[in-house]
Amino acid sequence: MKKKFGHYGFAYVRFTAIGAYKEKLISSIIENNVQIYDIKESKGELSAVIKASDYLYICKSAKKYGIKTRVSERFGLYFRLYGYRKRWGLVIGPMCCVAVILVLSQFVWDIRISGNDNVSKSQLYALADECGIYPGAYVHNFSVSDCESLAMADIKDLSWISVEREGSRIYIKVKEKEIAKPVDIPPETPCNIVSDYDCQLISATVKRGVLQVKTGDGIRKGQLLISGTVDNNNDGVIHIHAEGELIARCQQTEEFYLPYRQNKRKPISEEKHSTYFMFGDFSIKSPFDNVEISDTDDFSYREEYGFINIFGIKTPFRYKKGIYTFYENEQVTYMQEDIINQLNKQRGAFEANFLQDCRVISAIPEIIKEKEGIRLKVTYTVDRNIGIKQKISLVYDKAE
Amino acid sequence: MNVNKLAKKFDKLKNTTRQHSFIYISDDGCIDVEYCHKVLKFEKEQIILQLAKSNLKIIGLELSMKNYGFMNVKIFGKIHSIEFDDNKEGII
Repeated sequence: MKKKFGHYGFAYVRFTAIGAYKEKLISSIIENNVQIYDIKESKGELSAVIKASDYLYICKSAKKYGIKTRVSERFGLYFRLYGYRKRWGLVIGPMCCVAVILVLSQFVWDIRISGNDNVSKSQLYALADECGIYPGAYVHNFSVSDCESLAMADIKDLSWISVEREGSRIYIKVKEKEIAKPVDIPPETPCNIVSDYDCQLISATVKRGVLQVKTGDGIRKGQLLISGTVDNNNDGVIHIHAEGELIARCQQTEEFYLPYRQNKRKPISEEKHSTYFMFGDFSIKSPFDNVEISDTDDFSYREEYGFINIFGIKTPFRYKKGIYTFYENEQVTYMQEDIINQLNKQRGAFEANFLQDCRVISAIPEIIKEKEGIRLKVTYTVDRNIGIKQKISLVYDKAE
Repeated sequence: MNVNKLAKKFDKLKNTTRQHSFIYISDDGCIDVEYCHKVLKFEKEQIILQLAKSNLKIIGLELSMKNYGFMNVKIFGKIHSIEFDDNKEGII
């Protein structure tokens, strides 16, 4: 019985009653609808359990019938907690816990970005930062709708953005614009093939249409090569989709120039650090490292991660070290050989990027030394595929 | 007077003037008695209750009691027998 009342009830007492008219007391209690449990009789003593709040009524009734009552046992949550009334730590601990949760829930601790492909995360983080959304920001200091508007205005590639806050986490969901691919002329549409270079034709394979030039002919840019207008013996003129493979020899001249005196970006030997303590995905900046960066500073940033060691013992907690490398510009005068090496590097990069699809027949370099720098002039002779399709526009006379 | 209070008083009056009591014997360990007017005797081996028309004597071992609701009691323990007695002399 003790278990029953002690565990689930709020405050109960077991009392004993000694006297001649204890039956009258029970009748009075029952008649007045006072809840009484576990009434037992032992050695002329009555014992029962009642709610602590009803004990005063029992005492009054017992006095009326000449019965002496005494509380023998107390149980229930109230009496259990009463024993701890002077242990303030038990109260302060949970209160502090709740307070910490309440305070921390007022700040942003994590930003999650989804749906981006071409737009980089750093771009979205920077935009969120501009709107006041960053780890550690007070949740009432920014407006998600303003951030959405700013993002739509700033980032042209976005077609939709949603910034949502769930507790201490910010979800940035984006949808990018679909970049329209250049539309090819459909196979059923009549078209011609015209030259896109000044060159000399060396071979031609016509699949559909009529070749308008001969092998060995010189061709000017924009000249008609394969015509889609075909003379049909029976039905007159018809228009078809011209197709073919044309290879021509082209000559092109490229110039590369570098001055002797150049600005060189040189790292300053001293690096600056900012340390963050990582708790899962959260990072808290160390108050001891403060890197001040002005708008005019030229710097690069990289991050290093590691585990925190205390007295040589590796802890499971990580830290993030942001390393700022600052640069300064320096005027350097280069030797002729260095300039020529640099120019050759530029030439190599050009060939790798722009002459990849061509067969280079010859490349004649010419070095022109000028007062301020050196100019490298290269004349290329290349074989390449030429010809671009041009839609045939048909205008019909309504009178006909 | 509050209508609810009036209704409660009327209900109480109705119960006290009721001519019948109900006794539910679950098994030899529990008896429910509805409309028990008074407890005439309460001992470890014997309980006498005054019902509407007669007295109910319950004899057993380690008897205990609890009430639930108005004038309803429940008796637990090892019950050996119950007796009805019309003798009103036992009423105190």
